[in-house]
Amino acid sequence: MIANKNGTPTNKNHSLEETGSELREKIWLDAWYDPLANITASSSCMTFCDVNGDGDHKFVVASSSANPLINGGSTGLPINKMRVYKGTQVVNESVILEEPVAVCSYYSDLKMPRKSIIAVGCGSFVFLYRNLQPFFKFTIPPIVIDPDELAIWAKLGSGKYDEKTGYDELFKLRDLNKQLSIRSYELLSLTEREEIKNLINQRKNTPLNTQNILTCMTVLKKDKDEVDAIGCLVLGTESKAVMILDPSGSSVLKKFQLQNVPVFMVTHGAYDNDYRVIIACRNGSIYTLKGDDISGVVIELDSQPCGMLRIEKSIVVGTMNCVLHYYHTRGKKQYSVYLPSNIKNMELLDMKAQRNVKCVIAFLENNELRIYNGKTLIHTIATVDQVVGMCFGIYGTEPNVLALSYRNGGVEFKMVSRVAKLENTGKGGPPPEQEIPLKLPTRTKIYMEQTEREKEHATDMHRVFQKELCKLRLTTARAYVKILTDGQGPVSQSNHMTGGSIRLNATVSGLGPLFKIRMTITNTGQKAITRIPVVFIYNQQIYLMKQSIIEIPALIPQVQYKMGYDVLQIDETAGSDSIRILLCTPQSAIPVITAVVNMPLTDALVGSVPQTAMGQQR
Amino acid sequence: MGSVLSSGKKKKVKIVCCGLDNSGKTTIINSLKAKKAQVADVTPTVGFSVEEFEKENLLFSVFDMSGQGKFRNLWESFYDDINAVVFVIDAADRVRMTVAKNELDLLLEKEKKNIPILFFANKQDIQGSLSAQECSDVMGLGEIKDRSFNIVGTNALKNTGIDVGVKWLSGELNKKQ
Ligand SMILES: Nc1nc2c(ncn2[C@@H]2O[C@H](COP(=O)(O)OP(=O)(O)O)[C@@H](O)[C@H]2O)c(=O)[nH]1
Ligand SMILES: [Mg+2]
Repeated sequence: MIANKNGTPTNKNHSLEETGSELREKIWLDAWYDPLANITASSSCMTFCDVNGDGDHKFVVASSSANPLINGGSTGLPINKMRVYKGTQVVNESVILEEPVAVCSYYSDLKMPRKSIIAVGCGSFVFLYRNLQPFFKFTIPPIVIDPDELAIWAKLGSGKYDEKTGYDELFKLRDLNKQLSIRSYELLSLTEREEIKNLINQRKNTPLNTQNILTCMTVLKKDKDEVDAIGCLVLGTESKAVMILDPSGSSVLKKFQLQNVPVFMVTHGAYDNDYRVIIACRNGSIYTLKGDDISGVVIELDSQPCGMLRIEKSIVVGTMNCVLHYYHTRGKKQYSVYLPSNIKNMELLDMKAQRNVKCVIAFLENNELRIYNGKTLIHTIATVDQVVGMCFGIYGTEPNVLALSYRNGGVEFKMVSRVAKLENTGKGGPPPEQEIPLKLPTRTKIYMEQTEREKEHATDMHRVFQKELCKLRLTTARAYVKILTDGQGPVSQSNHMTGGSIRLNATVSGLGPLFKIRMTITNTGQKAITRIPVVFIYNQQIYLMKQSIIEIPALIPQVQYKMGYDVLQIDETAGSDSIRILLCTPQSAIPVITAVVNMPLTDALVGSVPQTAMGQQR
Repeated sequence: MGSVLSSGKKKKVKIVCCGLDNSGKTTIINSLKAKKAQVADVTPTVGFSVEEFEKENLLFSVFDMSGQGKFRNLWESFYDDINAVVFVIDAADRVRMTVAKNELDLLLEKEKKNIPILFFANKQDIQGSLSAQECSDVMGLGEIKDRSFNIVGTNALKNTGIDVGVKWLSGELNKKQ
């Protein structure tokens, strides 16, 4: 038992008002974080659903084995697995054979109790689970290969076509805008006859791969657009097709062939009434399916999509150039929000229970979890690690829960506070700073006089200023010309002697007493220069070089020449000096370029001078 | 004091029993009632219901509030008119402890009369549930300075701990007189 004795209400009102605003500012309540959950799942591989039909929603997550940061199971090998959470507990875990692509939950019938079906899409299959047991497998229909393409490969196989004819025939097919198999595209991408021949010989006797791969999956409501209505799965495939399945998942109700590979889909309405499926494709086109048709309105994004959500009659698309675009479902652009960092993940914050607010949760590459209501940034927090996936929904009986999957394998649940301020504050227009008056200094008498003077003599002052500016420019130009012509600088201008311009850069490395001078010489002119003497000028009492004059045979334009020369410090007690490098031409005594290398002090510990000797000299 | 109460003049107190859904509020109130009035099967409370009964020489009038998200703001409308709060925590629901804390923070902000709060850390029988002390830590009860409170671990199904809490509460309420 813990009890406090009658507390004293000290300056209560004041502190309460403060907490009040704090409580409203706080949006995310940190419910649970398990850094050792050992799963990674993208947003599409997570869902909250009522598995047992008892109103207690579980968190279902299909974890990919592809993350190198997470460990394998008991076998030590990473495995793809489906995990079911209740509260903080894992209540079920099962192995999935392939890398999961998407997980959805929906109701396939009206039987009581209403138990959700879980659909796990991986590879070319969609597995349906009821009571957490797999009971049905839908195989995505194989890709139908163009008969002409098949014929060409058959002829290549039997040797009727040589590689040249085969290549040309496939080329013709591609020009006719026929959809070809990956192998044919691979062949057409080759240029060397030898490579083409090799590829054909390797593959001609294996049948063309007709396997079709799932790229995305979502649920479209069947008869009415309500939370617990019966749903149909909508599948997008690598063959650029979109299929709507019947609620049992056993047959295809409708199939659409697009021009591009679908990667994100959102649905609106119900299949039996007036539905829309909006599809963002990998290349940045957004199509709309309606009734039996693909709508003529195609949105072309300015970059590739990295997430798409629907908020009532708007769709929100995040693109790889850090922008959130808002469109009306009919295709009309509404507005864009520009973000400071790459969008890594997006999810819909669909606030339920006491109020209905819909916001966009965006996770950015700079580890910020942001909430946008329309154009307005509502809230930002930093996360513990990169978020790889997130999912918003009902957990247990609690609405407004966000599940986060982290790159480090961790899982976190956050909940939205009941009183969180998610609405637009309505304060569009000028930012609040505009209302704050600037801190202007008070006007002193001197200031006033000065102003008067400036007003009277404005023209004169301007004239004097212009004159001084001209003079400054002239002096600068003169100094520059001098550097270029007398060869004292590191860059030379093209002149009559060299016929080209040269850039010289010299550095020194080493701890001593043996150093190395490294030079980089570039001929930035148009013509090659030959027989260039380079002279090193140094104090011969201190330093020793093998050669103090060298001759560079030729400098070809735009090539960087790198050279290194050893310098030995013979008198190690003499401190340091600088070495001048002159680059000349055989025709003239004036150097083209000069570089000065400041030699460092020889490190006493490395040096050959005994410690004691050093000590005595000091 | 005892003689006044035993003379038959019973003081009537109004109490709000709040806490998240499924925390055991209805079960606790049910077990407070006299044996014959108890309901065998507890069904989820929608909105709120009022129960009146006698206990510890007080006439209790308890508002059993629904804990579901959409009804939670109902609690607030009751604070003006009551003498005490019974806050039930499901000690086995670790994930929603933060939501319970958020609700408590809102209560402490809204309720300005400094009435006493009795916390029940319920479902102590369930394995892995937090003890009263642990609940107190997670809920940040140490921060409460403006009123008296107490937290008691309970098992509403076995009716353990509840009496201890109610005795403390009636003591607090009698003191106020
Ligand atoms: N194990 C256990 N279950 C309890 C306890 N108290 C209540 N329950 C159960 O929790 C569920 C919800 O109880 P209920 O009183 O309806 O919660 P309310 O929503 O807060 O009114 C019921 O199934 C109760 O039987 C307890 O102390 N231990
Ligand atoms: Mg109840």
